[in-house]
Amino acid sequence: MDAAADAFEEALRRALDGDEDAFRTIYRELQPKLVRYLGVLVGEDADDVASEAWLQIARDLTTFRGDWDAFRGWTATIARHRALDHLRSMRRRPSLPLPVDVLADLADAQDTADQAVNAVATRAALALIATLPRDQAEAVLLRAVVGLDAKAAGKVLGKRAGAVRTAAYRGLRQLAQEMSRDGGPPPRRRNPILGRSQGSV
Amino acid sequence: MSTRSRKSSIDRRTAERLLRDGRGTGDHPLAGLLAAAKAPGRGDELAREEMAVAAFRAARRGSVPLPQRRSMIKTALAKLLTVKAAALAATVVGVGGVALAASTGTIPGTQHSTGPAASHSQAAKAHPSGTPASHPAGRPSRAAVPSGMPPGLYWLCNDYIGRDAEHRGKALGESKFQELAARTGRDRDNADKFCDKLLQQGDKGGAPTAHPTGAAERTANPAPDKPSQAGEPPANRPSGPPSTHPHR
Repeated sequence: MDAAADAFEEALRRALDGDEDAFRTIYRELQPKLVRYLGVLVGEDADDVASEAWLQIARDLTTFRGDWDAFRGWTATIARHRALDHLRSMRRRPSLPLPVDVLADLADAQDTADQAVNAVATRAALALIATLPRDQAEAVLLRAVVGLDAKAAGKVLGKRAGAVRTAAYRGLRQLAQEMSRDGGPPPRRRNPILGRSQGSV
Repeated sequence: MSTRSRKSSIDRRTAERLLRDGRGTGDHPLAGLLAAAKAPGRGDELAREEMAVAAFRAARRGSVPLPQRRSMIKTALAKLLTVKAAALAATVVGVGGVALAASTGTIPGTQHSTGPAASHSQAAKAHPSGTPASHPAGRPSRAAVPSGMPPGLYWLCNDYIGRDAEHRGKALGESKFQELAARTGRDRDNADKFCDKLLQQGDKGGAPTAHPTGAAERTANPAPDKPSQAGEPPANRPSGPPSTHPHR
């Protein structure tokens, strides 16, 4: 883990110096995490919003100062803001046609069977996490998937570290309960009015 | 609530471990779930790598070192404007005086029937080309995007660049981007370059500040992305209609 972090630290440094391959390394590491995090915010528009985020990341890279940890928080913040902008624009234009993502379909077709199985597991896991109240889902994803600590995740969310810890903890507790009911009903949908699941907290 | 609550219970310490790296939680049911959630990236997730790299490349091409610019540029601009104003005043008075003298055969101020103030304004009108502040007419070249660029164009570019690469060509056909299309011959590459340049200049200090959503994100802050905080919903509000949360 530390060796990997060092490698990304180095990649970041080189990317800031203009090294294109280093930027690719960073993209491949962070993009899956960001797009999964965005999934709990904007659902199937996550790819589009992630693209917007990367345009901004690439453009504003010269203004970034900090290490790899700070960079991950910075990119997550950009992604989140693009997602919130997206949600607002969706409210303004509710009947926006969904773009057909040909590239993604092509890439899907190239998956090996093994990858496909893993992909299903990943999608299922993310779908389950997405049933949590949004603040809990965000806390879980920023911490467990994007890999931020409570303080850094709090910075992204505009909350204190303690609040993030609590939200993530509640989220995990809820997930554990969901997973322990074998043959139970499918995951409950989020209550769109209250912003949290029905039933116990 | 669950009949198997013992099995599903989780203490804060375990939760923290699971969230951190999952070490020492191997048999916990949640460990598998979280491992799947953070599995390595798949092909479809990385499908737009070339777009991101292209943006990176474009940003590098036009990049310049960024000092603490905003205040410095403002100061420099203010100085420049002061000089220009002085030069303008001198030119108007000088040209006006000569022009008036030429048309009346007298030096302004020596004749009582017309006040000097009126003469000056007349003369200035008659000689607009003598003012140093006049802009050349015609479409601006990329290199000559004025520092006092129209705010509308800046934000137009901001919206335009925010579109997906594959949608930008089509966007130029929209009436919203009419002005941009007109300036760039409705060519996507031209428009991309034009906007990159414009936005970069804006980033360096000339960005208009009256945009409803994006104003703050263009500052030279290490965390430059603080868009539309004013409109940001509280963290615990629902994120939208259920339809925005399909399974993934």
